[in-house]
Amino acid sequence: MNAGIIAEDDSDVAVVSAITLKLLRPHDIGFKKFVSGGCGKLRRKCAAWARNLVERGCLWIIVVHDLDENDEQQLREELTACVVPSGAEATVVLIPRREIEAWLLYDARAIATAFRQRPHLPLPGNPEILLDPKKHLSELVWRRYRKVYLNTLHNGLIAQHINVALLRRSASFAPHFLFARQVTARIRRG
Amino acid sequence: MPETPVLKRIVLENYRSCLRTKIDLHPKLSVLIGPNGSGKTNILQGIMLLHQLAHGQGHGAGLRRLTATSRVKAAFHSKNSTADLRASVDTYTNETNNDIVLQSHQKWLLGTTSRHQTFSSEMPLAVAGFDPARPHRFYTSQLEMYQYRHYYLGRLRGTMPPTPEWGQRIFANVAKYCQGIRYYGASQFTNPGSCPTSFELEREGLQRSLRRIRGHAKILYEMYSASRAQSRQQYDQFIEIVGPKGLRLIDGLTFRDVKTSSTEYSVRVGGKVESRKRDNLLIVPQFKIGRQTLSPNQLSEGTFKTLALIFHVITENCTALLIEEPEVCVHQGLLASILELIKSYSNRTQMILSTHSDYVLDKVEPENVYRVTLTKPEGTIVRHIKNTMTSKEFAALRQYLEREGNLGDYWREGGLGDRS
Repeated sequence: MNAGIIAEDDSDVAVVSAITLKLLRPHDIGFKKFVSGGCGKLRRKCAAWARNLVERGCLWIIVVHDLDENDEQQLREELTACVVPSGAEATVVLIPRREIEAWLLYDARAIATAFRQRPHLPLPGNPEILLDPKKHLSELVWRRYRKVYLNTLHNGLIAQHINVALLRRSASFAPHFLFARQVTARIRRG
Repeated sequence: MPETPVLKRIVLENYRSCLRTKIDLHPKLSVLIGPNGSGKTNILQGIMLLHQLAHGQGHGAGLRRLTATSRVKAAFHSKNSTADLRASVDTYTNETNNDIVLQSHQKWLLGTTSRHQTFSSEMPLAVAGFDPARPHRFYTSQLEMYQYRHYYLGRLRGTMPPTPEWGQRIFANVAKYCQGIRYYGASQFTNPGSCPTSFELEREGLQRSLRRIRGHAKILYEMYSASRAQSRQQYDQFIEIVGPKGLRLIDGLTFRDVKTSSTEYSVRVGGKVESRKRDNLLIVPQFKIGRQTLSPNQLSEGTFKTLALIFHVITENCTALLIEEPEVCVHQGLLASILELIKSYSNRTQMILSTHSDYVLDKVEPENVYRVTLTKPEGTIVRHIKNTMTSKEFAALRQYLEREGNLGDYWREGGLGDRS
């Protein structure tokens, strides 16, 4: 059983796939992806990519798109309208407020583990309000660990260690819990 | 203030295809795009002239008739200070297409933004960048004294006032910036098969050996130096990025030191034979990939280039990095990581790169992109893409990026207007 991920870059895919697997434990699924490299292309090609992913055997579709300056309701409706006609059994549109790195900033232990360091980073109470979570994470890692943070390398690693219970504090992550429940139910049904 | 300045503007006149080329650089990341032969490389080489000026001039009395005189204007800015350079530079282009500065005349205008003071000076950058930790380099260089006689005579005659302390500080920072400019060209590391499997250093006087080696061997020497440095932080970081826990290019890199010795004989007048024993160090780089241990000449071109590029990017004493076509021989997945690394380090090091890749353009913002064109009467012209469009066109580009596609698509489909 496969899920399809449509995201702006590979690091987003790495985070979403790792966290989804954690939510579905002990069940295991595979992932297929499309990466746009930018938000404009994602919006233009989302419908075609979703259709293609379903044709390639994906039962579920996850779309990740940063909110940035968009209207959340409008963006969610637009992207949902793109993926629903694809025929996927369940779909979810995840809209981090700025960048997906904000989710990683909920778990200091996961970051420390990914960088093989002991002291935990002092993280902000609500990472979703940060204007540039990626830069914030990069600066914290450099200042405290003297290590270079690269989203393409470390996002997936951090996500593998993240405690998903901490993500309950994230408003933008909430739809994923519901989606995971739907997928788990479908897996149980076989 | 961040004491290290950034290069804000450079104007190159009568330098290769740059007849009067002006570019206002982004303080962090500037990306040059344009057709082959438009002059992107010439702009990067022109910026490297600043590095040459900071390192002192080459010796080439016999080459005078082969030189060309160019003019370089540069503006450096930091939080509290400015430094403007106007220089005429005589260069000779050697067989490897590198410029050697034979003579220069520099005029500087230094200023502080906080105290509104200005000071003009004709002190050469190489003198400003004099390192007190290595005074012998300064005092023994009679050639340097000769080359900068104009300045020294002025100082002796009192026609050139001494630089005030605040000016010396600005000067030293600008000199440090220019000394730290590095160049990475994909063509530097083509065919790793021609890379030596080892290189030899004289145990005393490494400086002499370093000057003789270039290309593949030079980057290996720099990696070796970093691995033997007192603080190995930079080297460890490099290995972490390229190693098994990072980009997985290699599993390890070690340098074997082999002590060697040789005897040199010389015959004095009267027939007396003198011998001198020299202790050398043979350095053998060994790359570990899986279970195999490989020499550098066994690495693939893409692996060698990527290792060299990443090492350049994370080198701490690099203040500005000029990168020519980072995409050459690199897989897109790896290129994404390299571009992220470049963007991440652009907070510390000013990055200026040229590219033909729409994939690279996908990863940057329109604010970072400059279009380079070559026209017959004017030579190379550089324009920020915002300045190649009307405000309506730029708004349309923004709209496209928001709703339709990426900057690379827009470029590929002719939206940036540099395709015939």
